[in-house]
Amino acid sequence: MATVGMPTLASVLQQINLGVVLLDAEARVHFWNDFMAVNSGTRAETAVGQLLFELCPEVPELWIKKKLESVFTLENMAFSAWQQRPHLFDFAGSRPITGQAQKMFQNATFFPLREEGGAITLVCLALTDATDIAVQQLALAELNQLLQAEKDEQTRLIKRLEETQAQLLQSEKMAAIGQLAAGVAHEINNPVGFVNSNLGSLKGYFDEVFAVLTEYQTLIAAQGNPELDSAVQALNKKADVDFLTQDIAELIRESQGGLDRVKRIVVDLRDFSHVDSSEWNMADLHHGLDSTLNVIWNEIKYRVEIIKEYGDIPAVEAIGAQLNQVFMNLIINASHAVGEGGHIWLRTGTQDGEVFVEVRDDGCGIDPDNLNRLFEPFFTTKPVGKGTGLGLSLAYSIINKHHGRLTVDSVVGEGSRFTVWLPQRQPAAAAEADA
Amino acid sequence: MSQLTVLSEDQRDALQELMNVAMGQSADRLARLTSTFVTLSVPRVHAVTDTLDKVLDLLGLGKEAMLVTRQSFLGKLRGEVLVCFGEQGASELSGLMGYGDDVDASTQDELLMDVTNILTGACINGLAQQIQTMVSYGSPSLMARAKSLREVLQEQILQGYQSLVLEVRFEVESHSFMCDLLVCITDDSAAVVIEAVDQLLSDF
Amino acid sequence: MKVLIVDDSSMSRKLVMRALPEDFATQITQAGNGVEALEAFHSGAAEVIFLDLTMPVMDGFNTLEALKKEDANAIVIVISADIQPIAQERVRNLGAAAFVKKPITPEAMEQALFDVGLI
Repeated sequence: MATVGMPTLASVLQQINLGVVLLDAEARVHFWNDFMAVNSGTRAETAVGQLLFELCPEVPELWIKKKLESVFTLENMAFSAWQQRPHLFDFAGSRPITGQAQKMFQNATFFPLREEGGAITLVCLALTDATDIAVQQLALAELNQLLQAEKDEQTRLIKRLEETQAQLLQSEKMAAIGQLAAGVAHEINNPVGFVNSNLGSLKGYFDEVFAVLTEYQTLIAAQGNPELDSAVQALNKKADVDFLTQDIAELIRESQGGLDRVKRIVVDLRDFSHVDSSEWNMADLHHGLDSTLNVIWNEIKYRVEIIKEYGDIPAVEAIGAQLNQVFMNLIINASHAVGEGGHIWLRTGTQDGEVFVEVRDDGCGIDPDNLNRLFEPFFTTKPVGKGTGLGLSLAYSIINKHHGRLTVDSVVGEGSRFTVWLPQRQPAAAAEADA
Repeated sequence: MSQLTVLSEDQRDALQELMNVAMGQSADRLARLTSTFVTLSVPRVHAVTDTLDKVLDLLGLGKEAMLVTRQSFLGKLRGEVLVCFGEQGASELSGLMGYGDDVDASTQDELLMDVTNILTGACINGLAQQIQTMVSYGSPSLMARAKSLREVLQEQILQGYQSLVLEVRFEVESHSFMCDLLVCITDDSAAVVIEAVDQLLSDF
Repeated sequence: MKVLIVDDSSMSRKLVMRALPEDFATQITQAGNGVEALEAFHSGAAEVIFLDLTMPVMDGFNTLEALKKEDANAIVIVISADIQPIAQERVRNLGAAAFVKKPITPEAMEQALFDVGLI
């Protein structure tokens, strides 16, 4: 077997397919092999004697010094991996044609060179090309990411499906309620009608009866018979005829007023549910707001003060019943937020060609963390059983369908403001398709 | 059955003392590199006879979420060192290693690797020196982030690890930095360690 | 000379014994931690104490502190693997007469005993 001499070993180091650099404690280059020369474009004659971080400015000075210090102090190896420091040296990628990597990924090992006496004067930096593995791993990671994204998308779709189902359920419920309301309205309308007309007749009859009574008294007084007079007065007093005269008229008037209100509520109920018209019409938003208020008045009247600040707005192309649903949700939410003695402002107006309806309250406000999730279906901060978490998401989707926007801003402790923005006219195709 | 499962009290004591000396040297180097004082715990040697779970319970390391790195040592003495950093302990590193406070995530990972390398090197070199054998090292890598050691180990297919776990704790007071080293030695190279220990003991 | 050897490792205690010059010790007592060491010292078992630093129950630093507090008249030589300069300085401040690195050799032991004037 032939003995391998030192010159041969030197050639191996010079030509081996891996970077070999010898450095002293200052990071001055003492050896620079062909691999380094080829990839950096700096020949060994130029490199030797220079400080590594000056020769290759991409190598951080502090970093290389710390590495060397640790190798010298601990007399132990040190490493640098492509995962943390992909391109220690700014070398071009080692797959110029097929690889996508512009730069060479590198792993580096630093190890102390022990002299014969045991002292360490130099550190060897061995640099390997990790481009192949890095590119594969990065591609895998990318694939993983893609799969994850697909999975996320599926999750999102499933959620959308659940959402849609929930909305369907809700709108079915609303339709059922609407039908019921229409039925009830019809049933109530009949008796209310004849009670009303009867009341009218009754009022006429009483007027006549009282007129006759007055005539009688006038005739009796004209007789000049004190006995008869006192008997009539006693009778009058016993029946309190003066009071009856006044009060009967008042009772009838009040009853008529009450019937008027019943009629109005029935009309509003029908308007509100609008089973008969779930189609696009030019809607008067003020009318919608008022009839909504009427329907939910009972729930809010004792607790909050409603302040209307209606502006001058045009009619809006919309499905009125659905908008009413939105207004109802917003107002009821606001009333829950303010609690006893709070205020709700209903403001309308136009801005930049859009019509807006603003529902503002001076309630507890919404936590910024919850603000983003507000329109998610089933998201609710109310106790279990109190809220379905569907109201706002339904409102959101209704407004979406109207090509409008539902915005919210809120300050915790000061209140919230929900604003419905609607275009005056729907884009032609959408209105037809959605109707 | 592994030879280490039948470790005698004398052998265990001797091994612990070997580790103690090795740790002392590594602590000294770490202290010199970082200009701080390093507190050493009494190293503990566990021969793994039962499940790994039981050892983790013994170490009290199983459950908390940690950052775990690993590094191989190769040669007649073969195995891997797992370094467990407390989750926030890792952020103390840049100060400890003499970098500024605001280092980015990959630099921080790099520091973790550096510390892993320093601790592994110091500890295994110390051990190798005392049993007079040569070792080489693989490059360190990150094994898991924000997981408990139990989870981490359950995810791995561990081969022939069931031999010896040396547990050491480093504490750097000035930087509230702490980490645990688990030195796992393969079954076959454990024999090398035992031989060295017996050699030591036979001198008496 | 009455000698007390404190170390949690029995092998380490044996190494210390083996490193002692012949005929140096007239009596040898062993302790596995600081608490045992103080007990032994109080029962008059020590003129010279060889003390390890990393020990369970009560470590070497705390043992030194306790001895210093009661003005103990024993010479303490610390034998430890914890060779950080700060540790060495600390034990000297706590009253240790000498510091010897582990693993201990007869030569290092002789030098230490000579340095503190015991031989």
